[in-house]
Amino acid sequence: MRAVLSWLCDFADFYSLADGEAQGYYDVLAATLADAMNARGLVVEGIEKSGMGLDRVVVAKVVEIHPIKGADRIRRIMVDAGAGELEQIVCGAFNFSEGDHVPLARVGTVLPGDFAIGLRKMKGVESHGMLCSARELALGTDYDGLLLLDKETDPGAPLAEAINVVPDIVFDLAIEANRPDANCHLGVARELAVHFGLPFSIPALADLSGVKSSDLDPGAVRTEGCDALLLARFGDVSMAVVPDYVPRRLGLAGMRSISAAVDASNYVMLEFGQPTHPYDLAALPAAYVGVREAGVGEELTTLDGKRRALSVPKGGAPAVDMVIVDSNDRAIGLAGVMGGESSEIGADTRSVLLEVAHFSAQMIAKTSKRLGLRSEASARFERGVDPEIAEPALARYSQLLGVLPEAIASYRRTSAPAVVRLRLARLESLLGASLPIEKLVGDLELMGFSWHRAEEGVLEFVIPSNRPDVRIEADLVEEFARHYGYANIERRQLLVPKVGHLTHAQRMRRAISEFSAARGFQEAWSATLLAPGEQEAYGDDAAKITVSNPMAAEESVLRRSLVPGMLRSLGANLRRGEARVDLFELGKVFSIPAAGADFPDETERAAWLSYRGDGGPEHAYGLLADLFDRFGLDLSSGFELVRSAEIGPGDLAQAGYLGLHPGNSLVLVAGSRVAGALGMLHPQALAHVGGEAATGQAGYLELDLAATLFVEPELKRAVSVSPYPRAEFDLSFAVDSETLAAHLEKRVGEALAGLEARVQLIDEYLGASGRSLTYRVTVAASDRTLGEAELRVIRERAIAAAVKPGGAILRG
Amino acid sequence: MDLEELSSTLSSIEGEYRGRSAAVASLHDLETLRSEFVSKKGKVALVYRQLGAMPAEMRPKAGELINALRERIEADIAAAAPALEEAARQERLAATAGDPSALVAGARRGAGRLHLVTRTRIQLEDIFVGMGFTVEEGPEVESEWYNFEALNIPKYHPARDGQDSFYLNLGEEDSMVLRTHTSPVQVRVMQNRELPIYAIMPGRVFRRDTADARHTVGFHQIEGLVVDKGITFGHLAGTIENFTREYFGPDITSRLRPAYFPFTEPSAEFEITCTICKGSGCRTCSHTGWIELGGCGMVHPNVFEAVGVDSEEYSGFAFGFGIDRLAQMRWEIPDMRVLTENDIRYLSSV
Repeated sequence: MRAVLSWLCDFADFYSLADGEAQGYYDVLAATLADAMNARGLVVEGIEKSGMGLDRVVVAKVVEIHPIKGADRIRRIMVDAGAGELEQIVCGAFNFSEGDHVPLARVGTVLPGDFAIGLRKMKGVESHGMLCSARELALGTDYDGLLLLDKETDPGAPLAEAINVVPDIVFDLAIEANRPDANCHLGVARELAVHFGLPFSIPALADLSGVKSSDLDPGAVRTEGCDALLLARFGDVSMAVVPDYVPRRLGLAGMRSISAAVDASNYVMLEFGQPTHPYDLAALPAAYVGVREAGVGEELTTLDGKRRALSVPKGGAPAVDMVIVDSNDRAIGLAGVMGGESSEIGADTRSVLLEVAHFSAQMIAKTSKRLGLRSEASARFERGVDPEIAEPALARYSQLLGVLPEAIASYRRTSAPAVVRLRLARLESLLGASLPIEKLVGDLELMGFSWHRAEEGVLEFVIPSNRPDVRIEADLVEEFARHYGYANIERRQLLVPKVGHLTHAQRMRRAISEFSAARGFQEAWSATLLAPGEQEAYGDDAAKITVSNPMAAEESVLRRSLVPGMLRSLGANLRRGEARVDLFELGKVFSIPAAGADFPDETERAAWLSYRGDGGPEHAYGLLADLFDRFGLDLSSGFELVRSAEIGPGDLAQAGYLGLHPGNSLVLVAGSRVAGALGMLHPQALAHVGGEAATGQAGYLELDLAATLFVEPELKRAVSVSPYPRAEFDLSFAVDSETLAAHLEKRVGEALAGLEARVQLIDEYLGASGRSLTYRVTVAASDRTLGEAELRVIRERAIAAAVKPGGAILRG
Repeated sequence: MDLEELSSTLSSIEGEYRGRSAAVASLHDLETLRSEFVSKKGKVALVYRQLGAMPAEMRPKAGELINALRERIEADIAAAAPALEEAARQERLAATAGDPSALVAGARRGAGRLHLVTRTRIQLEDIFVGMGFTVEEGPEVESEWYNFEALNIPKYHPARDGQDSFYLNLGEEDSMVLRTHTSPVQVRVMQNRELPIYAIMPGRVFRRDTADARHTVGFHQIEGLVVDKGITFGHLAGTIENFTREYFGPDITSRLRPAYFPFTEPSAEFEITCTICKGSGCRTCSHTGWIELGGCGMVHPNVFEAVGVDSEEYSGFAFGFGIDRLAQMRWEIPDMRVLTENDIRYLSSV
């Protein structure tokens, strides 16, 4: 809310907090108050000074208005500002005509917000100052056009004198949702008065004791959602005038002045937090309104001109909206949210019926949410309006209008105030501080709390009606802490009786990232929410989890694979002209919950993508092998690599691995589960994101981390290496295109079990005579030098393993 | 062959050697020379073999003459070697000299970097682990019970507004969400771990917000939770202060001011000295000298009740703040969207 200093000072003399004679009085005062507001949880988001620094702003009469050639947003204005000759100003506002009086900030003026006015030239036309809006002068929030002045004002007169500008300060406050009491001037002033120990009182209200009062007709309120309804009938208010400070303060608080009856209503809301609603009595069949629940589908046109269907059940659940009805039971307003078009106050309104009501916070919240309709009133009712403030609000309304109501009718359903016990020992042990209890209890009294000692060390508080946030002991603890001052609670060292540590998976995440970065990969963070069809484009037909209320369609489907995000990132880089892109990412993927489960299958994956415009990208299989080596895992035990064609592209997509080249990719299987996939990306997938720019090739590896790298390797005993010389021989095999080099390598390796053996593919030959793979085998025994005869046997064993049925053929 | 003949043979060999030796230009030449003249099959050895054909009384003298020649040649070769070896070394160096900075682009693998958010997260984790905390995790898809209900955010509470949460088409309507904060992990930790608890919970969260310079749809928070006997608001303030000084340095301090969160009571917002102006007031801090960092407070009794912790015996505090926001502050990132664009020029520049 926007809190106006002069308004706050109606309740307590905050002006006295700084030395009125001193230089920079208002700055000191503003800072003092802002510190107090912040310390009490009324967060100051901005401070604006009003009615100050206007020394060089004068009244100017618009004499001529000329268009400027080649400019349709600005015009050349000739004004009389008392200089004896006309002055030329360039102006972008259009809300005035010749003869109007407007404010002119002369060259040299520094307007609020450190906005210096200099001699400017626009479209070749010199401007000797600026014509100003209310906001530019910090006299209000209106910036739709120039501030139009009374035509009685004298051209050339200082503005401050001509319109009796009052210096004031506006605090832009963020009030927490649980403090509706502080969302009005009364509440802010009370909080500050307690803080500074200043006497606090509500300025005199109209005395309504002589007004004819009656109980409201039983049956007027036909819903549990309304527990107070106060109706006041005012005779002729068409001549009523509100005091000068009302439109001025409303302007500073961010509301436009409309008419006395409406201004008074708004003023009361900003002062006491009580929304009221004035009806044009002439538009009502009788000086009477009631409240009831709207029938299912009942329609109403609200003030904003929209026709709305009410109490429409949503998702099968019943919905209840409350309407204000006239004496014919016709809906004329949406209770607590917005009035109806039919009974709106207008220029011709003479008599007014004022509705001051208290509605159920929850019902207003539901209605407001259901209809997507929020207003100042609904926002206040949602948070909780003080049920006891209705009568003072009516009295203030009458006082502002200077008109007493002709009759008042009221309905009230009272409820007992909340009572909360506070154990003083608990209070101090939760805060970890010893507190000046007596002083703080006194502060709570000033806030409207009353109390008595229930037993030794236990106080029982009766909670004031404006404090829905205080319902349990912990709430009172906060209230005490607030009054004591959070800053005064001494910091204490936390002595943790445990040893901090990371889990294996957490350490691995870091290690994988560091390893990948060292290998030249940049860590990426790509979107979790994808566009519909995005994963389907890479062959994924599985059902997906979707967002029911997306912001945008392209962010509405949960990813089942990291591929789409990685490809998006690749595409963006390719479009920027990169020819070499190495990215990795660690992130979660999501699949529809298994039958019977509520939660989706949420899996952490890591992915690596390497693209080269020309030349070969980082080799995915090499990366996989290196990762396994680095982290002590064994690809040849518990894991199996198969061509993706073998498990079928549909099944691979089902497992959430997408976008791979069907004839040049492998699936890593752990047990019966797909634990990863690798190989080259599908050329079409590259084209999909890179278009013309995707001329190269991309290698890709994606792993289910829990099934692979997060597996804690078993502790191995240290082995001693053979001191005997190693023997080396090469083997070339003719193989078909389906044979996996890794399989052949594994078979040869297994045949040499018991020896210290290394089998490395040193050449792949693809030619007219077919495909051949050449391995270099290095062997040593741990306890002897291998002799020629023994080596021959070893070699035969290796060959036999390779040429097993369906295997390779030894080449010459 | 008599001695005379022998002498003349030897001097002709020596002559030849001298002639050849003058032309030696490399270690290789020298080796050739050695092999030709003084190896087992060399010219001198050949002469030696003929010794058998000589009368026995001449042999000692002949042997002496031959050996003397061999020794002379060997000594000569040995003397010539160092200079030639040095020359060879120089030649090898000269042949392999080059400009180490002449690195062709493709030949360099390059080093990648960790994402700024990851780097920030690691730094935060390390600080709290150093204090004795563990790191806990939870799912990104949450039930409304964990994300709201258990955290004292009942239905129709403004904090639950569909404006902020992505609901999923899973199970009953509005029953599952992309978690809007890391706080549900608190609930899970209290349910699943033995007391006492000293844990932080970093992770990705989602808000239904249009991405702009200050927001991304997904972002990262870190949450802290302490539950033990005798935990006070003073401990919360002390922990926040320790963290602030450790992370931001000794110039930066923290302060707490009243705030509202449904899952803590008392609740506080924590602010730190503006890192730009160090508290003197600037545009970043709206001339207040302070910037808001996160929320915190004492765990609300209703939250304890939801997870079955006896709030009479135990008390606790929780805090949370944005990881991305800290990254933004540290690296002065003008537009948060760069964090998700994965532009390798950007990723590798910071």
